[in-house]
Amino acid sequence: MQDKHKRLVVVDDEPDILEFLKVVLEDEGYAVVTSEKGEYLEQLHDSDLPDLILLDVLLSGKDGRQIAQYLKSQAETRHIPIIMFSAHPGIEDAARKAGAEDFLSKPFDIGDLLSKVAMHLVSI
Amino acid sequence: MSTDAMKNTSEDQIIDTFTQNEPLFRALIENTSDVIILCNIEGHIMYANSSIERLLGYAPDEICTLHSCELVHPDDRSSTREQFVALLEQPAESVTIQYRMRHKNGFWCWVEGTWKNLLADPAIQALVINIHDIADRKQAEEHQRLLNTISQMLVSSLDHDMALREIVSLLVPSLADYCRIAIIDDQQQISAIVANHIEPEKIALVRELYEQYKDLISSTFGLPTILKSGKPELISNVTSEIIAPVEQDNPTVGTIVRALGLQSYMGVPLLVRGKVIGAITFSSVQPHRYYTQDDLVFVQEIARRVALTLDHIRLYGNLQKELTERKRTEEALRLREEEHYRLGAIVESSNDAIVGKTLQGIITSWNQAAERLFGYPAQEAIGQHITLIIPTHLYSEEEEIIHKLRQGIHIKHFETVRRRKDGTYVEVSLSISPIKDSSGKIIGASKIARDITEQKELERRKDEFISMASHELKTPVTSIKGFTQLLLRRFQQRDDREALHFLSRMDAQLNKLVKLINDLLDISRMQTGQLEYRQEPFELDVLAQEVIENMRGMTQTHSLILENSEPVCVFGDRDRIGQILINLLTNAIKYSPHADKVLVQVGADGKNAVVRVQDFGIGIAPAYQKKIFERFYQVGEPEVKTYPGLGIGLYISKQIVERHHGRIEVQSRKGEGATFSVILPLLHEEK
Repeated sequence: MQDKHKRLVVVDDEPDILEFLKVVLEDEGYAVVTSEKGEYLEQLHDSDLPDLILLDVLLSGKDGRQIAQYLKSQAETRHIPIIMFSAHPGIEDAARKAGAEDFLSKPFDIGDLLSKVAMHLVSI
Repeated sequence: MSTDAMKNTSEDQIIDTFTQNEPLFRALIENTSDVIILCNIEGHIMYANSSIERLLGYAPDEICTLHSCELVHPDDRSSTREQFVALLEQPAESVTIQYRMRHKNGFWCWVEGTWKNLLADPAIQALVINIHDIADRKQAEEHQRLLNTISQMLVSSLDHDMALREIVSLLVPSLADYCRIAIIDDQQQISAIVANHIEPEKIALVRELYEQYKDLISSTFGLPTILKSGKPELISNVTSEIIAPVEQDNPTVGTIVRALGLQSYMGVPLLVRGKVIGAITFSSVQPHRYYTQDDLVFVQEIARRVALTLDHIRLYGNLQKELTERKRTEEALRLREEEHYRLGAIVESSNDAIVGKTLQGIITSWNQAAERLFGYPAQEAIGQHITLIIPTHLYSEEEEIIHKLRQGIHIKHFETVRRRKDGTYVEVSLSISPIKDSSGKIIGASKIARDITEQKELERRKDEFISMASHELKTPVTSIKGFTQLLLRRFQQRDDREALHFLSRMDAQLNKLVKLINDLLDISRMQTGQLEYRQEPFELDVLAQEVIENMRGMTQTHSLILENSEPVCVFGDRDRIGQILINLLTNAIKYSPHADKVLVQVGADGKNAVVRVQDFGIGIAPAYQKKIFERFYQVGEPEVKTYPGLGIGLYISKQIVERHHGRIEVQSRKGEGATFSVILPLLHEEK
């Protein structure tokens, strides 16, 4: 088992998705912080930087890709792996271009999700 | 000489002269060509001069035994008698009458007699009758009368057949015993109209003469000769000498001619502007009727009038025909013009732009709708090249269109873009047909362009809607799936079999739901061209193996058997091809509920890689085999309708296959299952 005390941040504008993701990831042993708003990621402090970010592309009022771009442009957050997801499968390329390390299309299989998370945490 | 003697001399001289000259006067009377007859008060003939013999055939002494009445034609007796009686009352008066007198030979002569009542004259004491032979005059009168009647008949009837019949009836027996009018029609056929006054037995002979020997009758005279020569013929007296050569040529003819007792014959051509159109022949078997030159002249006149009339009738007929023809042509032209206007009106009033152009692409016609759609008025557009309205980047389209047109191919509902005068683009659907001339040669093209902007807009919105809808649908599905999987994990720990079972069913159904939504999304993206395809080499057999293995878990009823598998390498989007295989296998299972297997084959066939999926289900009738690949199409048969599905799987598969430069085919018969084949170009090792 990987280091279970890794911190994950999940951002999605759909609370139900946040809820089950939180449960699944916590079951797996991760520490999870969820937010419905993209701004949360823009206000991260050094003290609470996560080990991995799960980010929805379409957030009401905000484009997840822009946030990803921003995070990757900041020295402090550049190193954090971002996995983006969306119901639009075609958006994968755009998401990767914005800086995301990986992409999941919704609805996703939990097994897939967990293995990707594990994979990117290892590479830190 | 004494005076008395001189006085007496004149009177005496006269008496002397008379007494001395009595023989002279007698001689004069005797020898004058005029006929002089003396009748007594009772009408007996007392004296006739010798000329009587010439006129009536009687010698003077023969006639003196007769009563003048006997010599007069019965029809004339009453009128002559009247005159005679009246004259007796008027001494020294004279009267002139025309009447017929009987010739000794039995025939009647027309005469004009001048009777002078000199009964009271002591020297004469008789009626002096001076007679002229007016046969000629009478004949001339008769001829004139006949001509008039004939003219009347000809003028009053446009049916020349009937008129001719009437004419020949008129001429027989007064002029001839056998009269024949022969006409040559346009086809060079001779038709004849005949009247006769001959005994029936003789008529049979005549018929025979004409029917059997008409070409041989004579080389010297007869109808054929006249028709050929165009000259009149007259044989006043048909003698043995004349018949002899005929008899020599053809004894039978000679016999017939003799048997008929042909006495006199004449014939005249019917001439119209110098051309022979027929002939009239006259034959007389009566004794003592011999045709003369005068008669010939007379019948020539008849012929002239008949010919003229026939000509008129023919001309009239031709004129009628011409007029009818002309009317018909005019009518046809009028109809064609009407048609032309009607078509023109249809073209002008059409809502679709209709443009005509030559094969070189020059615009020849431009209707109102074209003016509205493209913004160019007709005067500006006609004469220009069609590239006027084609965006530069689509010029090659025009070449292709022309190429197809030259082969006589009609282009239907070709969607493309054209450019308006103001530079804006408009989306149109084109239907193009070749224009052919009357010999079938292609001389241009007719293009109908329909503005499909609205239609396209609607489609786009629909597709966008589908896209949005699928996106929206996926969001709650994501949650449901998430929680379902969460529960699965929890229950796995608790080892609650039943709960696990139920939850895994839920998960499976959610997967189906996701697939449906994805298919919908795919379709809309295919339309808008947003579907992306990866390009990479991969092994088709391996893919097939994977897909089959994945799907095995999903079906309890069917065995998925990979019958044949060869390693084949292709180039393209592995996931998409996999999507097709899943689609085909899903269909195979779905549409063969009573079967228990589905067969799959993977192999190479020449330059292509082929994957075949065979089921043993309800099959697809040939009529539907093309349509099932159409968007949203589902077979309408009631049995098939009971199967679930959106009708898009095959459409999507076809789009994907075609993007890979391959094809998808089906072989099937209703009730006998189906085999779907996916054919893709093989990846060459060099690549």
